[in-house]
Amino acid sequence: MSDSPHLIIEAHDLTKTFLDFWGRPKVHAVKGITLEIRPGEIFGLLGPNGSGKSTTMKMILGLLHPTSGHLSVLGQSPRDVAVKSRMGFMPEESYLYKYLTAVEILTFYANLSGLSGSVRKETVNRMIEQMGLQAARNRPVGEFSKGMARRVGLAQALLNDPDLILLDEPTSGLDPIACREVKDLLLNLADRGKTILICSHHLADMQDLSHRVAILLEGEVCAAGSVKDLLATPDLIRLTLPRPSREKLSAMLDYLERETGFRPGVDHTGRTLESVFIETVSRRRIAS
Amino acid sequence: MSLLPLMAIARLTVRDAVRSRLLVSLAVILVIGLISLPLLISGDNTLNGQIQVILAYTLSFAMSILSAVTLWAACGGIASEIQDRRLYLVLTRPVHRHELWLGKWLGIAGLNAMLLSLTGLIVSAMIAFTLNVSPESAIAKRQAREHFLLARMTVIPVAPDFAEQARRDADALLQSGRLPAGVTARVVEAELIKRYQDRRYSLPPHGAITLDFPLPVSIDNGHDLILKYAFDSSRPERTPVSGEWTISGGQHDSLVMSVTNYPGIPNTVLIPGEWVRGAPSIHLTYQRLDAKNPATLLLKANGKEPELLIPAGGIAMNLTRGLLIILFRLGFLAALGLTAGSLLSMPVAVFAGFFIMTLLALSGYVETVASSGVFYVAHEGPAPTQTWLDAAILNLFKGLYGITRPFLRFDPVPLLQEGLRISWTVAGQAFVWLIGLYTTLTAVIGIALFNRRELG
Amino acid sequence: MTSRLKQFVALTGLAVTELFRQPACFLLILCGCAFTVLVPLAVSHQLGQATHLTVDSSLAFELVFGMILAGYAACSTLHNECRSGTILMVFSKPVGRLMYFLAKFAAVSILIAFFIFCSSAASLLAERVTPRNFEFDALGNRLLLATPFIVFLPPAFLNFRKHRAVLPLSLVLFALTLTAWVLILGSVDWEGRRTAFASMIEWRLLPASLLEGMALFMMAAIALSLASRLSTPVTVAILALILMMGLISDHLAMRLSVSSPAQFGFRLFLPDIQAFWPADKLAGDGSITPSLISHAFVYAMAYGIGALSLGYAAFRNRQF
Repeated sequence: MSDSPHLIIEAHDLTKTFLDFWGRPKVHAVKGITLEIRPGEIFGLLGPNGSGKSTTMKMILGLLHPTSGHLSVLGQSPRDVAVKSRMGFMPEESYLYKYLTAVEILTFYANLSGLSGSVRKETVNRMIEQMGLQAARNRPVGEFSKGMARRVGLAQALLNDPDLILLDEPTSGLDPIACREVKDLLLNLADRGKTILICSHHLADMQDLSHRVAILLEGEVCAAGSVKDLLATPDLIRLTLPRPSREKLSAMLDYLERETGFRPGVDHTGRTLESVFIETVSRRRIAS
Repeated sequence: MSLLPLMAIARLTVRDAVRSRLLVSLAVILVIGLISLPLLISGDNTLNGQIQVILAYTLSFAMSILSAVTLWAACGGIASEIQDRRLYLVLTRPVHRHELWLGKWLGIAGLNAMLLSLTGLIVSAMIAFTLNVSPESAIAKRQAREHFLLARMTVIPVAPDFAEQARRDADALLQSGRLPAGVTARVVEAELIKRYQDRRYSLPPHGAITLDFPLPVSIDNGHDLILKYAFDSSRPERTPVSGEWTISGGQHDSLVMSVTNYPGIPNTVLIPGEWVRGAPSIHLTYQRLDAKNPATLLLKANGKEPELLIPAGGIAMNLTRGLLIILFRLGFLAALGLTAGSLLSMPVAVFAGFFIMTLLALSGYVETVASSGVFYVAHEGPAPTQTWLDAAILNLFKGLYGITRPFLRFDPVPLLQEGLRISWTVAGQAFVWLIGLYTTLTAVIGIALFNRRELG
Repeated sequence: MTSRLKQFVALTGLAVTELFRQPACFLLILCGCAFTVLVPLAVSHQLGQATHLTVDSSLAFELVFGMILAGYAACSTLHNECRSGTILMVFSKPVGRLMYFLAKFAAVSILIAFFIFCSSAASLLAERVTPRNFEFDALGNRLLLATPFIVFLPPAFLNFRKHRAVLPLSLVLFALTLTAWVLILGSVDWEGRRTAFASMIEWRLLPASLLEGMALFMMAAIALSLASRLSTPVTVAILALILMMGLISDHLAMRLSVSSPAQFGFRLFLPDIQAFWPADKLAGDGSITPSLISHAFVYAMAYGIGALSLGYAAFRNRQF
């Protein structure tokens, strides 16, 4: 099997079994999953706890070694160090050095990514600004709130302008506005050709963001495909129109019932809680 | 291997230790310990004794504390970062695992270098302070300065060549038939040489002995030479011995010094540097003057010959070389801790590291077993035959001794305590053994283990 | 009252369970006892002084390892819980800080008591198997050699078959095995012949261990107080310093003038560990008298309460 050059991540029959002290299989975390992730798409890995999402992600990152199967990332083995210069990773928890400031942490990771001199400094400053951390740039991250720490985590993932970005629960701990900003950022990155792999339990966010998803259960892929296709109920359609008068509405419904044999349900469309929240807060901020 | 990530990780290690107050806490503990220990331990109430206490106890204290903390920090450098998952973000960067490992090692070495520098400054300051405030006489202070503020190299007397005589006597003995069967000429010669060398130092009543000391460096700095010697006596009562040292070979007429010494106790004689200036060698003759003492003396107590200590440098560079050797030892311990942390979880890694450190510390006992070949005391009756288990354990101890011996060879504290010179050659050898061999081997194993480790 | 007692027992029980499952505590207890029983090997050539050296060394190991165990256990159970945020879940229940603090002390004390039990047994065994007059205690040494197999094989087997945790069972087996060996060796002489029970064991070591144990409880109180703010390495380092200075406290205090506030403060804050060091008292045919133990107990109680009070004062208003 050859690595397809147009695939960012390619996994065939990927398996990971954790062994106990005696070398016997203890947990079959991933059982023969097959995934193909294309350039420029946002791919969501969904599943209940213990379904193998994090294990899969760690194998892609080269932190765990597959028990069997084939895995290539950006056309190479994930254990190849060079491939990591084109990747960025944001873990579920911000495992940061709590005594260092945001600037120092980002500078450190920029150094590790091979950025040097003025490029490094400029990149770090840009990230700090982009994540809204200017006021706290010189405070130890141990004093940060969870949301601020997450933003540092996201900043370090984007430092080296990676082609592949892996995010584990990227919106966890963020307020709705910050959530929206992160989602917009990710969509923007995808438009620029970056490939993004997200593990998340926030289904609404995944629905907003992802082009394609895979749903894992007990280490296996039980559903995969584009979000649109997965969500579509092909036998039903929805019409949206300005509200007619009662008589006209009744006539329309009668007609449809005669033609289709099915009387449609009528419902008012509404906004989402997220949009109400954002509108309210933004209006308030502008006013003040 | 790129230096940028390596240096970044080293800098991070130092910065983290500074910010987490570990470095400050250690520095405070060091300062308190280094200053208070000599104040608490009075030694023999002499100025020389006080300075020896400063050198011995402070450096030993620093070495012990830093060894323990280095091991702990090194184990935690990888093991606890794996547990905290901070290492994930580093390993998902284009950084090789060996760069991470070496960066951690370099960071810990940097921290140790800082703390050892602080130790050196404090020890130097304490010696200077002690010398200045001591109520002892100016002569005693001068002697203390001569003894401790100079690095001295050791010269032993030229040994006559007994080989020819031993060969002749061995042949005669073998031909006489008085030796047991199976004894070779080589064994007899070696035993005879040893006997002649010991006999050379024996002093019957009214006896005398002449020792020739070549001076490898030209003494023209005006500093005194120190003759160190001790007697053993053939009789149990330790009556004092009076005698006379006659020193010849210098620029002036012979010097004569009367001395009274107790057997078993080390003694020193100061030879004025002015007198020796430019001389290629000096000859010292000891003449016993204690007519009524029937004991035979041996001028080689505990197997140690008389030594001439000649000035060959100052304390500053000597202390620096000593601290460098300590740094090399700590470098090895850091590698040991990182290796343990690469394989084991945090507290278990610390235990494994301390177990190996204890093994190294028990090397003296291991040496006894390995060299004497006896693992346990025999019980009454015929000697038990050695089983395969005995042989296996003995060989294990011999192997252990072979491995640990070079490590313990390099201990600068006893040398500094006696004011003896640690040469650059010795420091270089320490670097080759401790860093070049021990640390490198440990690093190879540690990096290999770390490369294989999965971080789930 | 009953509900509070139940809370206290629950908190203590959980802390004890957690401590006994930690590899570090297991290794500390095991190493302390292992070093003790290995001492006779190192002193085998010291004619006439071997038992004296064994007793002194085993008491020293008990003190040092007990000190490290106290420091580690205190930090593990208090400091790490504060740092990781686990304590927040406890304080979200109706649990007072004082009860929490005392429960932690109780847990550390239980661990120390277990260690003292094992270490005492190890000291008795070490003294028993120390060679005398070139006599080798074959039975004693064989029993000790068998100990690792008894301690590790059954739990390993259970782990293999039923995936049970190894450490807690190993610890229990360790304590039981040492006790069994003491009982067996107490009933036979060095040639393996039956003899009156207790005649072959140096029972003076038990009150000696008890005396040292009181010092360890004091150290546990200090450790817990430090652990309310400081991390493990710093706590253990300070404990080590206190131990060293406590052992020479008389010598240090003599350097200060008798009625000076400095000496008063010195004696007040630095524990007199020398009073709990039993080796000198056992020299020759000496023994640890009940009056000595009772005085030491009162001192340890008073000092421990003082240390805990200071620790609680630091912990009481701590914000998380």
